[in-house]
Amino acid sequence: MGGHIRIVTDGVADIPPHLIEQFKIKVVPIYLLMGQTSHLVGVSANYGWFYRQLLTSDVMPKTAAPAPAEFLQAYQALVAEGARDIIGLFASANVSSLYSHAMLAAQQLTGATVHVFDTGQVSMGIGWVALMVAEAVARDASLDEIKALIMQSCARATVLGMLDSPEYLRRSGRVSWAAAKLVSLLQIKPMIAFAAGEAQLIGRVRTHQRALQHMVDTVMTMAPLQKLAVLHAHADPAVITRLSEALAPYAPDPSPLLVEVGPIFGAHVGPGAVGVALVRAGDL
Amino acid sequence: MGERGGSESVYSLDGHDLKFMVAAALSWLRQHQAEINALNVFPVPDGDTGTNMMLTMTSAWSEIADVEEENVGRLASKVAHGALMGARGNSGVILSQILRGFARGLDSKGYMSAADMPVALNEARDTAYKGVVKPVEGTILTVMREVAEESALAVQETEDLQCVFERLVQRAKSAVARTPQLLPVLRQAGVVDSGGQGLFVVLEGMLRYMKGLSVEEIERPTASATLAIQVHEAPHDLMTEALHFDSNYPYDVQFIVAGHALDVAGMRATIEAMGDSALVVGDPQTVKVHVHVLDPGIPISYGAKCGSLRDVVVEDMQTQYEAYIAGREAVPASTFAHAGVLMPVEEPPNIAVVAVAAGDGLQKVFRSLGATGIVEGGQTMNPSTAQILAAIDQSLSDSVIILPNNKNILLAAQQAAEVSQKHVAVVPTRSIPQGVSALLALDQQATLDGNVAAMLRAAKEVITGEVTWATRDVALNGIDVREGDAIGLLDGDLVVDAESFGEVVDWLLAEVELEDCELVTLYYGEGMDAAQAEALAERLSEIYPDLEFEVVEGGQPHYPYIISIE
Repeated sequence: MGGHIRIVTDGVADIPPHLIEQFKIKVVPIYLLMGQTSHLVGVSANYGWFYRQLLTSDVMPKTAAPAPAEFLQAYQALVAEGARDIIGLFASANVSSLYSHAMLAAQQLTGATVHVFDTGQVSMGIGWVALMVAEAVARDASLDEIKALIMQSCARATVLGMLDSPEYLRRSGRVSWAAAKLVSLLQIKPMIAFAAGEAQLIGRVRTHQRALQHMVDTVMTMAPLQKLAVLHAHADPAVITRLSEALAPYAPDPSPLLVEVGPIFGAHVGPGAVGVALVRAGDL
Repeated sequence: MGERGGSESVYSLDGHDLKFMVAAALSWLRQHQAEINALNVFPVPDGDTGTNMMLTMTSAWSEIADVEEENVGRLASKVAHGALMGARGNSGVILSQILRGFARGLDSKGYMSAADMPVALNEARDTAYKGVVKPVEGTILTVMREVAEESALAVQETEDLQCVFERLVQRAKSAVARTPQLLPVLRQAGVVDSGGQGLFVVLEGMLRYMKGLSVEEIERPTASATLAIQVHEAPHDLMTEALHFDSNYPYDVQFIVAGHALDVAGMRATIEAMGDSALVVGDPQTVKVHVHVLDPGIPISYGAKCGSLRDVVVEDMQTQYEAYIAGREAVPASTFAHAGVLMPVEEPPNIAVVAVAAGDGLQKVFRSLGATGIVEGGQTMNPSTAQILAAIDQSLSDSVIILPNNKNILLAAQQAAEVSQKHVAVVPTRSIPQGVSALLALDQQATLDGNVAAMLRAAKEVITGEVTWATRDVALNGIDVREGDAIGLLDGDLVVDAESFGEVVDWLLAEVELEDCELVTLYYGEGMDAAQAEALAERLSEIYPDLEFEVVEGGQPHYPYIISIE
């Protein structure tokens, strides 16, 4: 059985490199356009260059989904490595065309079956679903079990983000209410919850301290948790540590997994954002 | 890149010449990209014209960059193919059509003479017009048409291709300048057509190569500069019109269909029936589709039936439009709320908020944070129960929260709440900073009672400083105050008397336990200006480097500064 089921995800997923390697997860990279320069963003341990550029220039980064052909190449590479079933876990179709491109490519693949899922998630929200599937594959779970696991974990996954400024999300144009709800005459740090394909504004605060308190209070209402990661986009290390320590009691492991989010999600939340990606505990 | 002599006459061009002309056009487009983008002020955010045309040309260039082709017709076909594959946005697609028609007009000729120009350009014009379902004059199409017309006139007088191109460029320039006369939206927005300008830049880049002029330099060519382009915001009625138009067909769908023996005309007719702004172009192997539709699934499914799909892009124009509107920093959101039509029609909130505030700036702040009703009033002018009641009744929601923002208004607010038929609760905020803090904590998903508790808690998390002048002599809290002195209050208590308002602010901050604070907001009042307030904030941030200072125009009477410390 081992090796016949493989997982493919996209560059939004923000899974740390060591876990990508451990579970042999394939990542389809995404185009990041910074002015005239185009980068291909997949897996990396260090995105400091991106956030520094974001902070020091006026260039608004743009992201673009790879063509279906690029998904097809990723699938074909897995087939060449012996995959019979490929589990494709992609960013919410509500906010990107990755899922539809992945679907188009899946129809063209020969030699294996691609099971494509819209996780309804972003960043480590996708990442957790992929890692939970990877763990299931590692313990030789059946395809049916894996599909049930995906349904349940997608439904229980939430990403919470506390944005240092609403600007990046607003300018990205991907959240329909952003213009109406985020424009104000005062500096506001919005708190966003992303679940089941929908981004919602769940809080507005003006200071870091209250932002963290709000985040911890919200996580508390979702406990017990099966997975918990602390996300950060080039945020103040002291803030990350404070959040991580405050959330430790809710983490299923001794401490939450620390994840620096990549440029694709980072371009939407902006530098200085902190957040969590969690999966609520359930039966599976 | 090769350089030509420039002074001699040119009687023929071969594939190598055309290749360099494409490179020159691309280079020239790159340099003028931003300026063309700036013309794209019509608020249907369909992408930037300059960038789209530049990227389309880049794709054309990549097709020939490594090619040595003497035959000008065959090279033109390659250029056309590259442009078609990389075409972006309406303007890029039309540019690719022009290049395609041009190539077809050359019909695999080994070299091109002046006499070939009208033939090729007429074909370019016809192909461009056919690519657009409903051609509009005053656009790149008009410029193309006039350029083709000019070529026919020019070749009657000269066989020198450089002279012909010179005339084409001059004609393109004047055609671009006339676009606002043909297209009212351009006139209203005070710009020339961006796609037409892009075509002019392409031709000018080619001419510069023929004349041996550099296209790499940064300085602006006089031809473009003399267009005297004025860029300003589109007027209101134009934007309303755009929103209206968009909401009929909110999705912008683009894709490429690859197949065998595709029926381009048949596909165009089918796609045209699906929506608006349809563009269907290509050849039997490759067809590029761009259309605005209500349901993006329909054209995509149809395309998938015709052949295999590539480069599918679906964009939500409403979202882009809202982002565009929001991006216009100069206009606060509250202005749009007043304009009514410009705001996307929204359901009334579950819970409406009525806030009491005096001063234009403060009222705008409350509106921008989501308060739907504002009652004029404040420290010296307390509104009546009837005034508050009227605001409650005017709100579209059945549940209403009142923020009195002053202890002297609390009772009137409570009375209005009792009299009203609606579910009304008063969050007893005693100052503007408390009101702002409470409003930020409003949660539309929660109950009225739940909100009152959460908002009151939030109100108490902020410290309020108020700076005013004494209206009479008094001794209070051990402080001797003379009429006219600058005085400061902290959460309603008189704590300082000083020479100047700035000094009062200093003393107020000194009184506060700032250890756990991060942000100080200075709302400056009537009679103060932004520069004074900024200078004060700058001085304070030197004293308190760990605090962030934000300066906001409050416009409140009688209180030069209201300070929020949190």
